[in-house]
Amino acid sequence: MPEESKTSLGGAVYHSALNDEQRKFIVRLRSFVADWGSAIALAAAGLLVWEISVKQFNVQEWLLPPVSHIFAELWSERMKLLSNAWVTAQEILVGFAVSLTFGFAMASGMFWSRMLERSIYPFLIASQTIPVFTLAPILIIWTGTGLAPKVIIIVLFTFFPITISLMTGFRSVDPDMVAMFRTLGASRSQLFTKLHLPSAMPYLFSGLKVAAVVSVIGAVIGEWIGSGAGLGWFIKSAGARNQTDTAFAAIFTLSIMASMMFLLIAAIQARVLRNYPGSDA
Amino acid sequence: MPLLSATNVSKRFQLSDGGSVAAVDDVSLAADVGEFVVIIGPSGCGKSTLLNIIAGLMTPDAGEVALNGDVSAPRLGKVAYMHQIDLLLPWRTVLANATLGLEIVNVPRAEAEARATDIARRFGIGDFLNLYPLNLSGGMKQRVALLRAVLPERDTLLLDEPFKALDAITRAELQIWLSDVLDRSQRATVMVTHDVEEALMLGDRVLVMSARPGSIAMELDIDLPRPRPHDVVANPRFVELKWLLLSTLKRYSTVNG
Repeated sequence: MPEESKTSLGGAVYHSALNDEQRKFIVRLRSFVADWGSAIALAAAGLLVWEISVKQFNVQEWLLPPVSHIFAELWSERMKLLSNAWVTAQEILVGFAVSLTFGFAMASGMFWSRMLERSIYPFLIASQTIPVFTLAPILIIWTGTGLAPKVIIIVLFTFFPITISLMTGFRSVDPDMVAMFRTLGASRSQLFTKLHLPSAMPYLFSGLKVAAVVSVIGAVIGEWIGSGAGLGWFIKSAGARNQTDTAFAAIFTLSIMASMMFLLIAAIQARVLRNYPGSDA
Repeated sequence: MPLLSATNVSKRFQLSDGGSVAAVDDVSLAADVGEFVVIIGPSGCGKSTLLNIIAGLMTPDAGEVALNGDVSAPRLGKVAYMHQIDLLLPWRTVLANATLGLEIVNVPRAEAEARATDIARRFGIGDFLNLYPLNLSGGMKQRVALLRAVLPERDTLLLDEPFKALDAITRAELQIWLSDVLDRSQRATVMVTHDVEEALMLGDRVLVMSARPGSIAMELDIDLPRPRPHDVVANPRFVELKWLLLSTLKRYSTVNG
């Protein structure tokens, strides 16, 4: 016999035959609306103003197409957009993995050896003063127009926030915690794996979030300078043909991709840091 | 030969202006198995420095510390130490926090967890083993911290104002709890505190430390019967000892270093 339950909606109490699943769905929906409702409303309003003003003021299609055309383009070009997005996504994923490995090795090395830190750190900072964009043509001469130059550019963009956040994390460990580990007889490597590494996780994730966003920029720069595929290349060639609506559709795809990357990392962060105090995950 | 002895220990700290300040001055103490020694003194008298030296975290400028008469024996990993704050790792469950010390000395996990579970029940935290520190009250966290400190079964236990961060009610509750769960016969315990009642609730012997530089000003045997329940504070002898300790502390709490 289905149990009748009381559900409170908007302050009023209803007797309803909602099951647990349905009730959970309502709770989830309400929290989604609370979290995202105003942002979605703002986006919708912005797009509406765009659509209406473009039509009202008779703006040329190649200058600024109406939103409806961009969405139509998104749909009709979906296969091309997806296949180019896949190329860009691969560059980002490989670049990100290399960067994380490299940044971890770098930060751990500098944590273990003061001398290594003193010798590397100045160059680490100096490397960030070079506009990576200017390196792109050289990288393409050296490594061609395939995956390699894009991965290198992404790594150049992302290893810095990853390395620095990890280093900061390793260093931020409470000295009392270190003392506690030492009184338990911990070795240096036990201290590293059981204390410094887990303590650095909140810092690492803030670095990863920055890296996620700039990795998309890195991939696009690489594709812009020399490539035959990818969203960056696709936008560039659409621009060259004055296909503004196609370019906008690709930009839209790119920003969705970057947001997905960010949200993926945020989700992993929320999972990893779920028991850390004061985590904003 | 006492289990733990410190002889003429002194320690100075360098200041950033080039000078130095004496933290501990010529302190000697001994503690044997079955003894609960309390070091009491005003804030900043070098009590914690003394404990850090005994634990092996700091080297003294002069004097020496011996375990079983051996002055050269390494003490890190041989002396259990519980800090003022719980220092629990937020990413570990209560059980995994408690077994940290055993994990570090490579006790097999199943054995470590069995030992922890067994004692946790006696410590009143048996139902919390799978929770994370985030979900524990301050008092519960300190219980876990003590469990972590005692699980590796060291002969010597150092307690550095273990209940300082707790509210008065929880502190009183944990003082009773500590004297119940801690089998004093197994080990030598040295506790640092600035709380006179805590010293009298728990200690067999109290050493009064003077203000900076810290040195031992008075030694006092606590001849109160055990167990000492809440109402021991109304015992005339307790009141007498409390007054004696308070007046001694007052006399030695002015800084003259």
